[in-house]
Amino acid sequence: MNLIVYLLLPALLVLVYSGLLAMWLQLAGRPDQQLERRAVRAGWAALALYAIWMALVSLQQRQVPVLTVGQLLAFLGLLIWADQTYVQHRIRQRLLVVLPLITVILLLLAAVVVGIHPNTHPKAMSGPWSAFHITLSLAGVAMLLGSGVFGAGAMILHRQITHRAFGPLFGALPPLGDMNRLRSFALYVGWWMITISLASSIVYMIIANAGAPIFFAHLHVMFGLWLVISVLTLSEKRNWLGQYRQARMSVVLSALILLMVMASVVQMFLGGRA
Amino acid sequence: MKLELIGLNHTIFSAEIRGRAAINPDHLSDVVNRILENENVEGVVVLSTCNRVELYLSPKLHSSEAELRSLFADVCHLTREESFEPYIMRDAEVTQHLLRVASGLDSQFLGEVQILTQVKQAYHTALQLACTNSILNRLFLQAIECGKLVRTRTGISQGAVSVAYAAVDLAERVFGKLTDRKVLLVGAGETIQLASKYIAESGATSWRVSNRTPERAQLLADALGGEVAAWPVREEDLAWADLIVSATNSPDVVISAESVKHALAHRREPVLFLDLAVPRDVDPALQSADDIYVYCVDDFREMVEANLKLREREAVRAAKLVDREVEEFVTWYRENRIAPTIQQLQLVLEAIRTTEVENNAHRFTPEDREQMEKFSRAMMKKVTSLIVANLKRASLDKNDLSVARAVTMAFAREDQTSVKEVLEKLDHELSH
Repeated sequence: MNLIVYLLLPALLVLVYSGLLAMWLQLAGRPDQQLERRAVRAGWAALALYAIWMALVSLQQRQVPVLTVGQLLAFLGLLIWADQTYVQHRIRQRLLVVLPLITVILLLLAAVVVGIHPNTHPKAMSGPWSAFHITLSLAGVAMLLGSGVFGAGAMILHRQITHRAFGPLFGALPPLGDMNRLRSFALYVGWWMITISLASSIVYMIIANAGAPIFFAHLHVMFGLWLVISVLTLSEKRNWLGQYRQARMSVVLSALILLMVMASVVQMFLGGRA
Repeated sequence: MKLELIGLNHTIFSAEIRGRAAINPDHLSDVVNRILENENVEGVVVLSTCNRVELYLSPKLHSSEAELRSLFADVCHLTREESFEPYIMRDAEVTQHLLRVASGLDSQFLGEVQILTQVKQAYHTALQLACTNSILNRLFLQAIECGKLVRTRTGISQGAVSVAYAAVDLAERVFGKLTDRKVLLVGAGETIQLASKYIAESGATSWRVSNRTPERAQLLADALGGEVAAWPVREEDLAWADLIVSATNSPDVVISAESVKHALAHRREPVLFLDLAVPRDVDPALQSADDIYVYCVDDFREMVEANLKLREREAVRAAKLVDREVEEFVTWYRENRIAPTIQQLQLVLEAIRTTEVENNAHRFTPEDREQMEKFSRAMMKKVTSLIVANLKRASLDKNDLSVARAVTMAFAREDQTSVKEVLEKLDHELSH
């Protein structure tokens, strides 16, 4: 069972998502509504398969999949793909899907390489609070990465429009307005998720551990990250920068967030735990 | 195959002659009756649009070119000289042509969508007039399916191919749906009216119209449910609008870069200028910036050309799909030719089997009779399958109907009158 859950299924998922990527790359080059409908349906099926795998991992270890770096990366991949599938359901976006797909495949591959099997069960990682905190944090990160993807899409289309480049890229991306709305929505939701997750961790520390810090080193990184996201969200709310600059900031900050989260997760698992 | 087509389109006649040749829908019934008076014609479908007039005929025997030209000239009011111009096609060529027409590959603007609706309409009208036969039914249904398939499987109909549409297309690329967008129209002439019509179709409901003649501005504003703005264009109106469309006859700049700079100094939302005037209304010094997009007529022409190039590329794929569909139709047609022979064969063999079983039934016990029934059915099925397989091989692969004729003759019974009809049809095909 271990072999199936921790090795064969993730390998199968890599294959499935690679197939899906091949379909979307073909669609990015040339429009085909029939193939697009098939690809959207295949995307839902791939999401279901991913969710089943994550559920099996959870059942196997009696804990949501947050026990290893590999599991966290895989879980993040699921959340990104869930976001993407939802967005795909709302707007037609022949090209934008490629970016999240590549991210999901890379996360899955990284998860397999780093290792998904939990050799030990860290005590602090088990229990419902931990599951809630980490799941919400990851969902928030997935939303923020989504915001970055839409920002990147908006920047590409902006360039196409201002440079009068009316090639296939121009027609394959969703409208600028839609991408900015989705970017803004993903940023707000991501901010709320990170905020609630962070607040809950503080409350937990105060109540459950009588104020004793659990992951102090990890927490200050997360708090710094929260500050950065908050400034960006406030700027979005007040529209300080305008849509184009805001999109650019979303891309830069999403990349930063990804790096910081990765760094903090790696630090946490490779001995940086306080 | 017995199909004929005679027609004219935008490539051979001017709009004036096409207009004269077009068949008035009110007179269509008379035209069809006149065509069907000819006993050789079994079915007809008339496709008459602003770009083409075509008669699709299913005759018993092919008519001569002169007969077709005379019929077409009569129906379309063409002069003797003009009557030599229309194209004539026969059989598989007709199938290929109609499928290309329905797919938008033969249209003035490659990938035009409206033609598919017109083909559907022509077929439905023909059905109402009861002037089609099985071949025309199948041909038109296949053409309609092919038209849909080509549009869903390729990008042949994507992108705007007129300046006004391209302008609205661009607005939709920038804003998405135009439902909540504020539109400032500068000018009230034909171009602005056309552009505002397309923008309204895209959902815009909030309008201001600024024009040198306030009466004309009022008329347009009333038609759109908007309000009149002052002339010359005020900074306040520029700051209000998300989309500014300008098309005046003014020889000078109507919207200066300076006024835009002042008006949009505190604006953070995107704003799009669509300058459809020649010479330009919007100051050329005003360039696209972070959230400001400025487009003029030349840009839209470029956009239209790019879209046409994209469509041309897609046309190659579309043509392959059409060829596949034509092949499917030809296969169906060839199968259809031998269907009466197969039916005849099955009837005769079944009659022989039933008679023999009944005549010999008294020799067997009830259980054995059941076995005999099963055995005789299985045997006849195998014999029939073998003959049908050979028939199809000859008819479909080699297009040879002599085997079908021989089988019909071999299994003909004296008391069957239908055989004569089957043989007649086969002879027609063979003579062709």
